[in-house]
Amino acid sequence: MDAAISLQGVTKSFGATRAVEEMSFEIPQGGLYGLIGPNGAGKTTTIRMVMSILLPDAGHLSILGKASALQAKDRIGYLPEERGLYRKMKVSAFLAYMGKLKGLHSSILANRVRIRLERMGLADIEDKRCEELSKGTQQKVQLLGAVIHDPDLLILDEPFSGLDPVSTLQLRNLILAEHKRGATIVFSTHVMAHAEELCDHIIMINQGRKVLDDPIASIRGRYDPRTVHLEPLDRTADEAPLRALPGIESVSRTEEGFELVLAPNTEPGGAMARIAATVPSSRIELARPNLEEIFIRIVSGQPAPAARASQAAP
Amino acid sequence: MKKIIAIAAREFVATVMTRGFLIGLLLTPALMGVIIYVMPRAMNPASFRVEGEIAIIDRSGVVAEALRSTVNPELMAARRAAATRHLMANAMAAVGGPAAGPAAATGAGGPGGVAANAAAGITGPLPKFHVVERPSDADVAAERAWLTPSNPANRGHLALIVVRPQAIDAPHDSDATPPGPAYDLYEPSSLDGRIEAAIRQVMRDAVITVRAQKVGLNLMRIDDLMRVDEGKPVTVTREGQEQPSAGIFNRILPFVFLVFMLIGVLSGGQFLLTTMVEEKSSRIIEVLLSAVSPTELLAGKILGQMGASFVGMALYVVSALLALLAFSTFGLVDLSLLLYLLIFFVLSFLVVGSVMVAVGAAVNEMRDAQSLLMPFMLLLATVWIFAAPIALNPNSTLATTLSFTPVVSNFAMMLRVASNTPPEAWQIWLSIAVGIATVFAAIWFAARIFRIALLLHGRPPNLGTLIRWTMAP
Repeated sequence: MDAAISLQGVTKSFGATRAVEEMSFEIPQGGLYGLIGPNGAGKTTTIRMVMSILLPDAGHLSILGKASALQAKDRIGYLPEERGLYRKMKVSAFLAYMGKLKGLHSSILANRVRIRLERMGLADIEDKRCEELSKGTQQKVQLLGAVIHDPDLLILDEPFSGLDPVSTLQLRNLILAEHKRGATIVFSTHVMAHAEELCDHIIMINQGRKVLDDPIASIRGRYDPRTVHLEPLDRTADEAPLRALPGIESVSRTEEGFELVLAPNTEPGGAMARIAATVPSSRIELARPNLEEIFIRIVSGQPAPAARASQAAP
Repeated sequence: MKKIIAIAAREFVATVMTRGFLIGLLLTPALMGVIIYVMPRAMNPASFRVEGEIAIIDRSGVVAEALRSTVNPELMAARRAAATRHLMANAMAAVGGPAAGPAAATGAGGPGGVAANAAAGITGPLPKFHVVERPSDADVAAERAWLTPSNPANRGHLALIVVRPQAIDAPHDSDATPPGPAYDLYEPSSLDGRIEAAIRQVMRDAVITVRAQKVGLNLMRIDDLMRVDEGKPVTVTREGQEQPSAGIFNRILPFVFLVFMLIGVLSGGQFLLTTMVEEKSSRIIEVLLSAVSPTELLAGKILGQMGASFVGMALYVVSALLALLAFSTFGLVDLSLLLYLLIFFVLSFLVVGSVMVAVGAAVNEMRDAQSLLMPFMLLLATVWIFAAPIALNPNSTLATTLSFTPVVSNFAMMLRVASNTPPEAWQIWLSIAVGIATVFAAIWFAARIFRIALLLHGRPPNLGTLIRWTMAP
């Protein structure tokens, strides 16, 4: 099966600034991918090149089996980071217009618009002008506009920015529903928790370059938790017995108690049981690094704990 | 193509249904109506009354008497009525009106009739001058005090006229040295120019009367001899048929067509520019670009706005034709001109629209657009500046050159084809070819700018940057 998106050595510069450099990745059909990275990393430029809104200086792209998104626009839904609506247009007219531009026939549009608005709990805004809506509702309408034609590929650039928790949840459900329908989903975000929560695969970008391209499960495996936070009942407890335990690589004091780093290949469950037995404690926790921590480790050049441990091993 | 039509339809509806479009549609003819109604009245001297005393020191000994006779209200009214009858008869003949010809000139009756009323309407009420004759040897320096505001008797003292002795002798081409002025005019510091003109007119009439009498001529008779009432012209068609001549109508027609074109093209272009800047700043552009290509978006926007402008222009044209029909003058317009209007409107709109869209895509605010558009607007302004010379002399070098000059060719050729002496067919076709080539160049230019500039924000580009973008690979 063709990849939904394939980039090979794609590069884009704006004047002297190299926004994207030698970017290569593949997103399979039906995937739910997160394109993450800090602001200015090159996510939006990459997405715009995928959408053929910008043309790359070098490299090749393939979108839904076509050489350019221009040839497959009717199968793609896109929510840009910089969102816009026709302020004076009624919501139903806007959605119908977007449907028309995506190749839907006028005869089915009115009904589809109504159903989609009802499904999103927005039936009452059908006849309102876009300018009368709150920012969150406007974003929902924009997202509905992006999926009105049931696209095979849905690209969302920073979809959660500016949304309140309730709207975020609604948007998350809609993304999952589209994925369940069979659409390939790619969304960019600089809030890595969103990606971690939703995606099955992460592509991490920093300074125009890809720094990570792995399934979430693999990342979790690679960045296997090796840190244990311990709060002893006796705050004056000695750390020496902890150091003497097998499988403990290092012990350091923290404000709450101790931070212990497990040795490579140490089974965390057994190690935690031994630690609890050695020092009576009010709390013992295995700390799992989140994407943000992983990202910081990658861009700062720190190896993954497992890798670091294996490097340290004789 | 379906997407282009969808974009064009939205642009059309979004423009036509706006209050601005409807107001503009009504406002333009309303404004023109106000100008037609108010301007003549504002400039009409009818409300201006000239009344006061003229002091005269007559060194010739005869002009003062003639002046008294000249300012006699009854004689003045008779002269003015005769002149107005003559003027109106010729004017009616020129426009092919029903009252044309000598009948109109004479049928209105005497000085107290329609002509006299018309005269008052055109030139205002008759001036009322009271002539105060001073001794012929009076000292001018002393008499000048009569005009000063400090003079307690100065109420309506308009002028002091010192008639020179040579005033009664008409200058002749063979004179070795010109005889010099017939009189000197002294006036108060704040005398209205119109009063001065009225005084000069009566003095001129008085001097001419004296000179005519001196050589034994009858001025009234000379006036009669010089009056040539012109008949209504008749045009003989190529088929040998007679039809009423368009007369002065043909001289107005090119300007009417030019105004129709300019209103349609510039108002549509302005809408394009505004909506483009708005869509760019509201970020809707990227949403659209996810659904259509830049070329489709460009084409749809221009076509939609062109449709809206065409509707506006068509309404004006139909209204004008209905007005002609109402006055039984419909036959004066050659309907093939409407085809030319359509062709030149489409060509010029595509050029102006493309440039407007390109500039709108390149900037973030309207004020940035104004400076970028300045050279283009100046080029367009040449059409308006040279409209009169082109219409009056449609086959001059200037007219011919402009009708083959890109951007302005469509307007210049429209002026020429609507004139009395339209150019030969090959010139029209060549001008259309130039127009089509310009359209292709403008669309190419706009598409290049459009593609690069749409998503750029920040510092607005200058003209050099725009040109560089068009050259970018």
